[in-house]
Amino acid sequence: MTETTVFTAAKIHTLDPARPGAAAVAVQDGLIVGVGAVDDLTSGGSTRIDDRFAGKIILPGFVEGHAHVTTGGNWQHVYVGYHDRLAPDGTVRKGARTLGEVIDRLRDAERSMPDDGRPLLAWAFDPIFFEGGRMTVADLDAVSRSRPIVINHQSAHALNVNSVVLERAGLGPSTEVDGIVVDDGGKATGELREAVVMHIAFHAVGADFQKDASSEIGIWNFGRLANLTGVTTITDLYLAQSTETAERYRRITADPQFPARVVAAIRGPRPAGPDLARMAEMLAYSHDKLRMGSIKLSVDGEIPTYTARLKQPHHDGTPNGVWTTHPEEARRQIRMYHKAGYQLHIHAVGDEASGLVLEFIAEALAAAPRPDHRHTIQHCPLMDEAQFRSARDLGVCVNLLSNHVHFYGDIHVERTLGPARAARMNALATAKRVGVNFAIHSDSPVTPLGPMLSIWSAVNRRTAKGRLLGPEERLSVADAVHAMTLGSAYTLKLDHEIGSIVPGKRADFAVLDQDPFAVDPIDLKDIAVHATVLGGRCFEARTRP
Amino acid sequence: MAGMDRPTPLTIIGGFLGAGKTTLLRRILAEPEGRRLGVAINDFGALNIDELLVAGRSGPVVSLANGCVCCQIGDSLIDALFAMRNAAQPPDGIVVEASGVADPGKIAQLGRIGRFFRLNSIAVVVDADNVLSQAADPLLSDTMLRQLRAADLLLLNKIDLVDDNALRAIERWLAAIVPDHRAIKCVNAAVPVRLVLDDQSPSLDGGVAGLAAHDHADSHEHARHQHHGDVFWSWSYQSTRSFGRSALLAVVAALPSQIIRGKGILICSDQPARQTVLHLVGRRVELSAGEPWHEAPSSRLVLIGVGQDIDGAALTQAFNSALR
Repeated sequence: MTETTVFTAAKIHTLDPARPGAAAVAVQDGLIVGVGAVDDLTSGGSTRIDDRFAGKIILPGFVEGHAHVTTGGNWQHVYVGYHDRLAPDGTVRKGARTLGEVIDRLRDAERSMPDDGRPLLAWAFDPIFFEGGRMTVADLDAVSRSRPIVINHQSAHALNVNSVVLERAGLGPSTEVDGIVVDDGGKATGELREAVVMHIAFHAVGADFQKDASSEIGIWNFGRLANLTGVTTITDLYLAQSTETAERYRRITADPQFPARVVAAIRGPRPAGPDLARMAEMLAYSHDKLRMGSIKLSVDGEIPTYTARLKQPHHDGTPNGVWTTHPEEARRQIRMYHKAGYQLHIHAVGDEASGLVLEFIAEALAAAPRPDHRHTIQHCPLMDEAQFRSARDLGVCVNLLSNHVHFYGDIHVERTLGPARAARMNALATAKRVGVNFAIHSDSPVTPLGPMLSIWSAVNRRTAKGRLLGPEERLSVADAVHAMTLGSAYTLKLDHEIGSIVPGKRADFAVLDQDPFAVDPIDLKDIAVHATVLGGRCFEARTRP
Repeated sequence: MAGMDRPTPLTIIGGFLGAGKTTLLRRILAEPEGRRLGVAINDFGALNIDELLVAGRSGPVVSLANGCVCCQIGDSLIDALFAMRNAAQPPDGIVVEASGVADPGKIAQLGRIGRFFRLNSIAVVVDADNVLSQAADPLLSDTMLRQLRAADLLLLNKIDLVDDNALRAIERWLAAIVPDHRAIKCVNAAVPVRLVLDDQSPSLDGGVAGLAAHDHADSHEHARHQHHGDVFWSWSYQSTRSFGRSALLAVVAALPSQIIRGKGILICSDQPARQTVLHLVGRRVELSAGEPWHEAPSSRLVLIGVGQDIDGAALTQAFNSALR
């Protein structure tokens, strides 16, 4: 019989109402075999006490129910975000607090690059924090007039570029396309805002932020970032139906050093979904640390770019958004994959979109009843009480991007939704009251990966500018932690394996320096992750300042 | 062959599912007229790729595997277009069959930039039998209006399935939405390919002019097209005098709505040493600089119209008035 390891801690929050708190947890062969007092757990056969987490707080490993592997890839480029951010190597990259700091950082990076004309790429730029000053093409030309410079915004929906890029892409103030920002004098500022001009700029200079997202380094970075933020199960919710990528995933995640489990939802060609005949091939790549088999669909866009399908017009009068899949095609796909037995993760952002998806799922269920399907509507920030009730009654889960209130709340108040609707968005307290199965997620890289940040956002609902947006929809700490663990695990059909600290489940833990149930809620996001435990194996979260 | 420096002509086919986009695409691929056409298809679920591969064997066919989550343009469409353009044997032009819910006007912006791609035309196919009910669907009406407003040229397809009253109602409805629209009525998307596609020829011979059986100066000819769609006529014009650019543009802007295609190689007084090329598809008009004149400069212009007869003498008079 293998030895049992008993981990001790200042406090273990199990999320098991039958035994909510404990001092120790016993682990054998990667599984939890006991939870309780140290003496109770060591009375049996061959046990060993491991007190490396003495003084720490243990929670179930966090389950990030909606992220993308691209979150690892950006780190190959220069970070120019406003906030300090944790990099996959465990260092904290300092935020650039002024436009001048951004430029200095670019200049330093430019000087360290060989004189090969390759583009200088940077990411996470967020001009919303620089009041009274936008970056101009002159700012970037001062960094280099010969090397293309492309700076992706944090939103990933805008760029700033230097004049080398504008010239090569053929973009000027008189170009008859949307998205070229011009100043009062009619001169292009170098800010590009629409998908077409952004992609033309990428192609004109060979800049590719997406490239090799699911490469060796991309997947490893993904796992490392999970470990550093306390995540033991992470999702790649938009994986190509590619056996090559699946094999790479299988190999890397099977490495004992890889610190996370990955759940992937397969996307197919849009607007068509994955090929049913080939789904079985994808399933074959699954193992303990890699789960393939759910399907990702998408029906509309998203609010910041005015592409979500809303029931009511945008606050500033911008017309309704777009369908990314024709409603009839979405209906056909939902019915087909449902009937074939797959679980669906469906991107639906506007309330018109989420309402329609509920309708289609109801039809699919009437045609082919299936208990416990757990189809999950992803993001759904505008679902109201009635839609949550409908989801509950249909057995549909919802997964909300709680960070959205913080990072985009101000834009929603001022431009897209207006104060009244913005206050009701991400109605997590309503979801809780209604009793629908709900989770919260980061959609990283859309917002930073970090369960404590997602929990903080759900509990505090503070926008970047400090607004308290819809205080009635704040969650309790307990409910937010549940949403980030068991709630997410449920949406992945893994709640019997992970999400709480209960005998028989996998020994996946997040080890924190402070107790989220004891700190001032406004400090939740600052709680440091000390380590994660994955199947009983410890992965120190090696962060350094 | 389009060189690396010359922008690749882009033709966008838009319209709802079932309107006849793929039928039009098949027609184009069946009559490539010596061009190597690349094809980018979005509604991949709705058609038989193998068939298209056979039909389009002269050029690459790309099905758009996926798009950006946040928009309908998708890096995959743009990546696919660049991949075709940067290939060892780039196509002479690319036809994009947009998704049934896409805004073809957004995709066309790629061509409006003009550096890598040049917009030839946006043709939107409309299902005469279903358009009014589709437009009444609250989930889809705005999507349809966006497509109609983006179109340079509308193909009012499947007119054999509606009676005259219904057809007139559709035409009134279209006129209310897009007052200056240009439409061709057709069945099975059967329209001469040259009405939709750019003709690459630097001269008029075999280009637009070839659409009419006979082409007499200052005359017009009728050619009833197959099946029972619109009747096409052509009108042509010639002069050795040069046009004033703004006067010419004003005349072109005021052309009657029956005129749906045109091509001209013209002398403009502000650029007398080079040809000035007039390109007209539906309501899209473009004047661009062409080759230097090799022979004695002479303006030649061909216009193609549909349906109702036109007063050729009035057209001649209008263009004469723009001469310097």
